[in-house]
Parts: sequence; structure tokens; C-alpha cells
Amino acid sequence: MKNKQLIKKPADPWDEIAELRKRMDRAKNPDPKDVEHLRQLVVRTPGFLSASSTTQSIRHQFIEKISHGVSRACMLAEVDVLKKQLGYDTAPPLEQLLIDHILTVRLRLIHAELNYNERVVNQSITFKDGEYWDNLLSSNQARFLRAIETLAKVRRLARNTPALQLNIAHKGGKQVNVQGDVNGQKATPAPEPAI
Amino acid sequence: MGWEQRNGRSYYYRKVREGGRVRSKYVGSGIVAQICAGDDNDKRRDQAAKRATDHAARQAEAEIDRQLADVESVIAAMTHATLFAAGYHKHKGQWRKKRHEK
Repeated sequence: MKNKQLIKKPADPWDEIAELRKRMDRAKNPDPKDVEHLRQLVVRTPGFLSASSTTQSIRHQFIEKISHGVSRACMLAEVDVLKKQLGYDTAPPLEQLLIDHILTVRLRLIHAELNYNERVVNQSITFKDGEYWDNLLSSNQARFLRAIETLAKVRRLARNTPALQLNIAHKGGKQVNVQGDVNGQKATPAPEPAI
Repeated sequence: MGWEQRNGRSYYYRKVREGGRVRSKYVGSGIVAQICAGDDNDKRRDQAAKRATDHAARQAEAEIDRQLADVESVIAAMTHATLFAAGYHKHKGQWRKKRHEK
């Protein structure tokens, strides 16, 4: 009985974070102690940062806003497939951020294309309205391209920056170069050197 | 607005813009004019509702784009910082590795 009283169930950090956030949102000037406590809790709960990262939260809000039922399932599936294709799970943190951004921008582009089709192609609208929706679509296409280019650039540069290079040579065999990556990517064998 | 009093009687006119000028087009008086006026009112109300919907849609789109632009600038700053830290510099829009870093 005494032992039961002594064993105290540890508080769930997620509940604590939620409670603190509520309290801080209500207060005009949050208590600095609360801020410090929240900071420590977030550091102890790494999942919180990824769940509340800006790009992800924008994406989730966006999906909730523009899709329902089947279309939402399709969008989420497309995000998952694209995420896998871009190698999100094995990517270093900076690339994960860029991939997250690509996914968000891709959804935005789909939405802009749907809007364009709905308003410009299927309806008769004024020239000014048409110009607005056309510009919106173009700017989103440009943003999507920029996001992809940034990821490609970072990947290309990361590949050219070996943090670690090993030259392995067997007696009488070919020399093999194995290089690591600055961003912590998987080591890849370098192309064979010219003999 | 389209109703005009002439010699003590009400007549309904439609205002039409033609080449930068507004012309009054006679529609009629009595019950026919009232039906036409009601019809025009409905059209005006529909147009106002459509304008309000379009405005709200544009506001929502602008808000989404603003958020994305903010995120984009933050990501660009982080990417640049990471590349600078890895020993790269920008030369004529191209990222290059510093010679002594090689």
C-alpha cells in the first residue's frame, strides 16, 4: 500500500506541453518560467519539433482546407509516395526540410491547377480574372521548380564534399575510393579512377 | 435607381454603359417593369455575391502564398548558411567550393 503511494506515474510530456501552450496562449506576457519549462520539455520530446515544424503544419492545414474524403486520401497518398521517392527517411536534416517544402509546394501547385481549370477553363471570366489565376499558377510552378532545384543543388554539392575518403587497395587489385558525406548521407563508392 | 418619375408616373429604365458613356434604355412601366426591375435586382445581388466569394477566395490564396513565401525565405537562408558552413561560396549565382578547402 505504502509502495503504491510512493510510485508516481510520470506525467505525459505531450499533455504537459499542451497544457503549457494553452496557458501561454491565454496570457499576454507568458511567465518566463513557463517558457523555460516548455523549452526543456520540447528538448526532451524530439517528436514534438517534427510534428510542429512549420512546413509540415502548413501542409496539414492546407490539406484539411482544400480536400475532403477521397480527395484527402489521394492527396495524403501522393505525399507519402513522393516522400518515399525523394528518400525522405534516409535524407539528412537539411534535405528533409527541403523535401518537406517540395511536398507542400507540390500540393499548392495541384490546388492552383485545379483552381485554374475550374475558374478559367470551365467558365467564362473576365480578362482581369483570367490574368490573376494565370499569374497564380505561374508563380506556383516557379516556386515548385525552385524548391526542386534547391534540393538537387544541395544533393549535388553534398556529393562533392566528402567528409571522409578511404582508399582501399588490394595487392595487385584495383584501388577503390569510398567517400562519406558532409550531411551524414550513406557512404557511396566513388567512380573508378582513371588508370 | 432605374425608376424615373415623369409627369407623375413611374417608368423603369436600364442603365447601359456604351463606349464610356452611360445610356438610359427604356424598359416600361407597370407590372412588366416591376418584373424586369425585380429580375435586375436578382442579377445585381448574384453578381455582388459572386464578387464577395471571389474576393474571399483571392484573400485565402494570398494568405497561403504569403505563408509559403515566408517558409521559402527561411529555408533559403538555412540552405545558404549550411553551404557557407560547408566551405562553399556563391560566384556569379553558382555555388563553388573554396580552393583552400579542397
